[in-house]
Amino acid sequence: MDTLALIAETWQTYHLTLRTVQHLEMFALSFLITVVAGIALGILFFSSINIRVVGLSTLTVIEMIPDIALLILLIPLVGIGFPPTISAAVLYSLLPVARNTTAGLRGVSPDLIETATAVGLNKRDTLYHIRIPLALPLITAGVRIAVIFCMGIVTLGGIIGAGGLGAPLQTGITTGNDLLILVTGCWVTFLAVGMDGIAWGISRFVAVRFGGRP
Amino acid sequence: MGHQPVCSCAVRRETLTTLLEATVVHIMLAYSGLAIAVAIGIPLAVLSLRSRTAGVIISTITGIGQAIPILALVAFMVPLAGIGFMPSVLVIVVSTLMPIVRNTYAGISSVDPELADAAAGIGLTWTETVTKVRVPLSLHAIFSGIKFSSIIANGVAIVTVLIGSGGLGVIVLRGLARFYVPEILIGILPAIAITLIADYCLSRLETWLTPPPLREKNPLIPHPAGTGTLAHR
Repeated sequence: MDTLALIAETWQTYHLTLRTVQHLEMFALSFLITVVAGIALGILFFSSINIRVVGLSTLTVIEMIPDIALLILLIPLVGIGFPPTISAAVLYSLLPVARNTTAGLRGVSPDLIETATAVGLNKRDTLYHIRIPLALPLITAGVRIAVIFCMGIVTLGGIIGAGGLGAPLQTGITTGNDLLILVTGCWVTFLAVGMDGIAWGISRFVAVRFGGRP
Repeated sequence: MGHQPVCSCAVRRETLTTLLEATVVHIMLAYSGLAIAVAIGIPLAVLSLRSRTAGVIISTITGIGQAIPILALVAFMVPLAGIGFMPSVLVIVVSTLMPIVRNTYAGISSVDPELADAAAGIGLTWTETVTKVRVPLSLHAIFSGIKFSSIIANGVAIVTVLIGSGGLGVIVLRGLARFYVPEILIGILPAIAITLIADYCLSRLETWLTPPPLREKNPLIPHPAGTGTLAHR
């Protein structure tokens, strides 16, 4: 009971409810932008080979920069705190979503496309009714990676003043407060693993529903 | 971003030595961690191939482990292993181990079963099948894991300054505390350069290790499937 009271006190003192809300806000925003922009980019890359080569190479180069370095490089450009955190999370997570979307759209069997054309579907209908549904398993796999990347970078944002659960973690480290580290660390791990678990569940469902294999 | 003013106003001789020392510590930190992770990770992947139970346990742990934010891993070291250089190396080992195990396993387990059978058919033992057939054929997958881990290692080696690892993170942290952009950039740009150089060196090493007949695009070489792992370039 004593431990529980201590944990509750730590939670109160360091405003962990507020930190969690900030954390999830940043995560939700960066994740939504990533998914929408990533899928849009994936479709764009699918439609034009030139844009695909340029776009995917650019995103690959960004991916070669360590996440913390990207976060810090953005500080001179967009300021400190919230903006660089969101931008870094989006920039870093775009590649898996965009690449998997393009790969999924391109990977649809030519026979199916021929059949679709034969029954009178135009390019646009083929994209929306044949290619995108069949690409969903690969797209959700990319989105799942984006969940992990966004969570990781949003947590790192605590170091550069973005708030969220990274902030009490840093406070815990600098003040040597083991309890604060354990409480925040376990909580953020639980959130991250939980989000990844949900994403895993959705990707399994999509794989069974649209992939035709369990 | 104006690199010229950065050089003229912030780098004095004294800071240059500091920068060199910090860079050396950074490299030692990141790459000793990565080397240990490779030394542990590849045998773990082979073990996953050998025993189904071990495979399930290893893939579950590494799968969950990949989702844990790096900053949380770094923070956990304070109560669990203390602060300083060695705990920092430990964080790097833990965070780079997972992509290595997963990619190596993805590679060696997706080698064409007929090739593995053929290898067994000409009298190779299981171990020889792994070292002479499976690993050479999946070098691309293994190296994607190591390259991805090398990027992670460089990032973590900066974050570990919070637990007293030293290295380039010291300069970055000081720059952040004073919000002095040139100092932040001086700390971070060498880390990015090291990451890119390491990536290039690892690609060369991969080509060098690949048996000559397999160097061109070969349909027999499995490429990482791209759904279960974080790294597949």
